[in-house]
Amino acid sequence: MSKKVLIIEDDQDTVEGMSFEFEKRNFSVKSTGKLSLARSMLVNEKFDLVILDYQLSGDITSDHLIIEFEDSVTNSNPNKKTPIIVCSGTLDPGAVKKFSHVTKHFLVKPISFSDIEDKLIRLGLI
Amino acid sequence: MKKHSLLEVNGDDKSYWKSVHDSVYNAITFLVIPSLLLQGFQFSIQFDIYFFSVCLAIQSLFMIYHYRNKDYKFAAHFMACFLISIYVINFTLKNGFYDTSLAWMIGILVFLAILFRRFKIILPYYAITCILVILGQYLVDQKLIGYNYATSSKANFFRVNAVAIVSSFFLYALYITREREKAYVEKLRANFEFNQVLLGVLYHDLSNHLTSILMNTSRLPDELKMIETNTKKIRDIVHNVREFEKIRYSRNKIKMKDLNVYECFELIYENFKKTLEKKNIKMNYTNIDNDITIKGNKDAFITSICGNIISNCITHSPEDSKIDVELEVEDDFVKISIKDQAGGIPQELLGNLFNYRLNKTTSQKGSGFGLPIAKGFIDLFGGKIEVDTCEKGSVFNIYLRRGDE
Repeated sequence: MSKKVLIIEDDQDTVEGMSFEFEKRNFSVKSTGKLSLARSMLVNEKFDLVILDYQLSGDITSDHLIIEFEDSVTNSNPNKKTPIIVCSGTLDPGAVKKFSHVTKHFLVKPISFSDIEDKLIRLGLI
Repeated sequence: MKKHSLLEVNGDDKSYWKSVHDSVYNAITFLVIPSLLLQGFQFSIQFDIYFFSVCLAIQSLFMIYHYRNKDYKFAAHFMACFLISIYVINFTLKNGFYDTSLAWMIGILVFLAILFRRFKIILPYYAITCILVILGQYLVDQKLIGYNYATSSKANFFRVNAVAIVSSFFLYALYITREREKAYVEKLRANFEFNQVLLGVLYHDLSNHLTSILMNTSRLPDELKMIETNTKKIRDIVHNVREFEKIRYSRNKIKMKDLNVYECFELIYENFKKTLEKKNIKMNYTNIDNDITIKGNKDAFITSICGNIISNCITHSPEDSKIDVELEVEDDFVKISIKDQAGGIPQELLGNLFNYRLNKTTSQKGSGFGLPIAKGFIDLFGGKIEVDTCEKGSVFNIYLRRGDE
């Protein structure tokens, strides 16, 4: 059974390239550019990995989304132990520290897929 | 922009006037009124001196209390009132308006202005003191107020006035310089903040677009692979500029921890495993003891220091070669030697290897930023780096402070 990845990113070119690379590695990919939509997807479906663009904002912020899944309030969430790779276009050392157990993976853009691949190896997903 | 009047100093007007009120009240209560009373009772001069000493001590305690609480505004007010009080004592006990110590008082106010850096607070007191001195001298001279001072002299009158005029100019010059300095610093800060915003926008926008390109380059046909190569070079430049920014940002702020060198090198090896395998380069470790620790920051040590140096070695090393990493403890320092077989560094590059402005390796294989960044962090950690090179290869000797554990 293929592993499932959710890409939360609003840049379509990036999503397209990333999806191509993930599918090449036998992942099934879902994507969205909206955080509120991502939240409902994460509540309803189990994913093996989440890629999150940290700069996204909307009804909720990326911080909210991450904290929600790390918080004990949402213990019943199917993705409470799903690793999140946070990608950011701006260097924010504080952002890495404030998240605890799940989000230990932080990539500063510009990134290529090989950077994500390194993380996948460390997470034992490939 | 809001214009401040002379009496509006840092903080709100209420607090300013409260500090003026407290200081003046204090001076009047402890010094001015007692001094006038003493004049009326005509006690002995010794009694007067003891009495004033106690009063001055109380005043000083108030001032020290405010200074210790970092309430410099109050402290400055107290100090100024303190001096005016001395003036009154002087007037009462010694040579009155003609006394030379008045010149010292005026000078001390200038010194206070520098010490407290509260020019706007000191200025009114300074003006009051000068006016009192000059007016007092004039009134005595004109015999409009009468005191019999046997020791007073006309020459003192000129000395005091000369000091008052010179120090007035000095204080005014200081005040103007300070105002200009403040305006200049403000302008520099605004420029710096603007540049930071621009840099942030550039990082963000450039990074996002580069990511879009890099995520799709694997689909390029072989004849267009140069797009991928060059985009990766731009990516490296963006990362390196960020690293430099990080060094500047981290100065005096970086948190130093004890790092286990063995554990760090395990992670470094993991990072380079694929690249090493690609060129069939062996990485050998000698004396990497599990107990040896260094003082530093983990990310910076792994990525910016060792990462950059090892990446440099791999880039320039031929296939089927080796990189030796050796550890040695030398007193309070740990020496990490990274030796490659890359054929040595040309003599003309050696002098400027760690200077990013003069490092000319850019056009060849790297961005030319790697080694300057490594040195920047080593300096930040209180260590040093040396390079030995010969025809066979180079040795990078990194000296970092030994950890406490």
